Amino acid sequence: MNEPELNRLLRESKMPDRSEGYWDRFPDRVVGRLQAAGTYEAKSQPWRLAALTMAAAFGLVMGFILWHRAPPSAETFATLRDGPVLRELLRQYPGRLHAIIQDGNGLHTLLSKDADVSPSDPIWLEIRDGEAHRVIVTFSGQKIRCGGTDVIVLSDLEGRVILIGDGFFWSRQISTGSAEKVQIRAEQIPEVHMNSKPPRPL
Amino acid sequence: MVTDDEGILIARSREGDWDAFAALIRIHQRMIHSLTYRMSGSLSDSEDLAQDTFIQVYRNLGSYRGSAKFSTWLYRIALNVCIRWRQREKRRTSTDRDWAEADIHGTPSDARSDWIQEALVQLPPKQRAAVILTAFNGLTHSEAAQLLGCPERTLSWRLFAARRRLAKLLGKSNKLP
Amino acid sequence: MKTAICILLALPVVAVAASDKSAPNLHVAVFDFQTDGNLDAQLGVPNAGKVIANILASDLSTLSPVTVVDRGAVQQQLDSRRFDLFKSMSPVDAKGLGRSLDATTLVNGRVFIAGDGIVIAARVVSTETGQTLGAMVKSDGTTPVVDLLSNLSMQIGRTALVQLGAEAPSWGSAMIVGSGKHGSFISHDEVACVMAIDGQAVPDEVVQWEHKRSILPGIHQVFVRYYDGTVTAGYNFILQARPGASYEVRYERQSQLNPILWIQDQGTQQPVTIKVEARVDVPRPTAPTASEWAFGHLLPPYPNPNSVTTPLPKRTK
Repeated sequence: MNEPELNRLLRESKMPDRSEGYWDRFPDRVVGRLQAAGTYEAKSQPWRLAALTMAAAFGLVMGFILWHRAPPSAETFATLRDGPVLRELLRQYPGRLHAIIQDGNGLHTLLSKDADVSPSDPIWLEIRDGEAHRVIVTFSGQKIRCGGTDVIVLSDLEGRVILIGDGFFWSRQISTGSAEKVQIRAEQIPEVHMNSKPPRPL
Repeated sequence: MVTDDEGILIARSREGDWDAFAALIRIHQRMIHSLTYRMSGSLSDSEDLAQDTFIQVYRNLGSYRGSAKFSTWLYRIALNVCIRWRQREKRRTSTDRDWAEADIHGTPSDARSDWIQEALVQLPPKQRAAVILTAFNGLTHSEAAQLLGCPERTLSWRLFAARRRLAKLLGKSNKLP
Repeated sequence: MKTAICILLALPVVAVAASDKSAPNLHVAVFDFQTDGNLDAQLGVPNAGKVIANILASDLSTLSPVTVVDRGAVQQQLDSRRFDLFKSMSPVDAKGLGRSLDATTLVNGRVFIAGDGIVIAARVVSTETGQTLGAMVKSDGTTPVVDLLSNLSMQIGRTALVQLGAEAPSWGSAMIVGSGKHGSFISHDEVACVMAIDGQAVPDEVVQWEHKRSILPGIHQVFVRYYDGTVTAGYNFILQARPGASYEVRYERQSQLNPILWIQDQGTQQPVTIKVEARVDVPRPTAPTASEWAFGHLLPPYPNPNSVTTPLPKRTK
């Protein structure tokens, strides 16, 4: 087969079809993600980014201390995975932060009385269990409730996340038992940095 | 180099005009989807990668100076997104997994196209990118080399190696659907 | 799955190799693993979690510089009740348990049934910092469980070393090969070769006796065959393979009818199994499959090379 024949053959290859509706909706989905991330405000008035972030972080931290239940917002969803809130909380409560949870009731932190939380990389989890939808930031070795059972969250040296419980196993490649009924997305957060990309919701 | 219309859309997007950015996406979405599909071999992943590409485009609009074609700049971002995604996937999944993804077929296209895509995913990433940019997206060697950040001669060698391999894979007449 | 997994029947309590006193201070304590649901019944292995922990401890002991706390001591440890898989472990508790066991690392985990195969997940806790990480292996039912555990032990070993701030070495496979004399055009080769590993037959074992076969670090059953064209005999050895080692199946046949068989480390030229007088068995011996087991005790890895030969034990069905 010579080059012109090969080029012709390659160009003949078609992409799998998508509906017109998909192409109509795609730009709106991208814009929707950007809006949810609050990027519009940052882009249009960049000088306010630092002030807004600090104000949001301070406000959230004060709310956590008082166990203030603020209604969940798009910024909160995004900032749970981004740097400022998590870093601030880790600084405020060294060795005491078990988890940060965002659910239908708002944003909560789980703190330990003593500094007995082992140092591990933070892990971000998004869990859809029936109608319930939660986002959790916790650490390898910590326990959470999922699929009606207590599970231990673990990450390995490669950053892979697994969840282990009684009759419950979840990893990105395979799940068993009651984990099969739950939608989970999990990532180790190796660095707590400022402008990480917010993930799409499940 | 941008068209007048495109230039206006870019400027308005920088100012936060969502409709303008959505219009820019509409102009280039099929091209980017094609690239991410050819690179990943997976329909579902290609959609995510296309979204991620436009997110990066929006965040970096301030750095686009207009010296290169806007579409070339988009390609570069898309390729980087694809390559970074693949590196993350490789770290996460078994080392036995190849570059090729399992769900090439997605919604049915045709058997011949699937066969060609299956051959394509067997190429190493840099060779695959070179073929996609030149054969599918019609870039010149010079444009493709600039986009991939390599000398034109290197690109030519990559294309030579890729074509030889594809010819072997596709040229087996008993495999032609 | 059952065929692959039933190999566990063969390995009740694993004797842990003596620790190397000059090795870096990395002592791993392996606790019994939990099993999901009725895994014991499904595998046909009583106390599968204990057996898995035994094999894992044995595999870890082959990975220098990892050393393993004696399993007996771990099981007697009252504090192990605090090392519950489903409870987070604080750094203080980890340190306390580590002190009582003289362990730098604590390991426990759980085995799950997943489709036709299994998943084995482990939790690895550093007693120095309390840092907790995980490791897992999964099978589709065709991989022998001992190979899964070899892989898991290497992951755990690496994790434990990284938790201590050390660099994890890469532990390569061991190799095993047969030995023999080439025959002439009228006589057959005289060979001692590997016929099966962990119940999986080796193809063309007599013809390919010089072919080196890869074997993961850790504990394996190796069925060896002797053949000289007329006489044939076999024996099932337990081999504790060390990473990167080279092993050779050896034989001796002088005036006696039955050949003496053993496995030797090519590097040290020392036997790593007992020497056994393998009874002649006509016709071609059948290697135990994963579901059959030739003997019910584990042979120590570094025996007295002058030990008395042992008759071929009866196979159980």
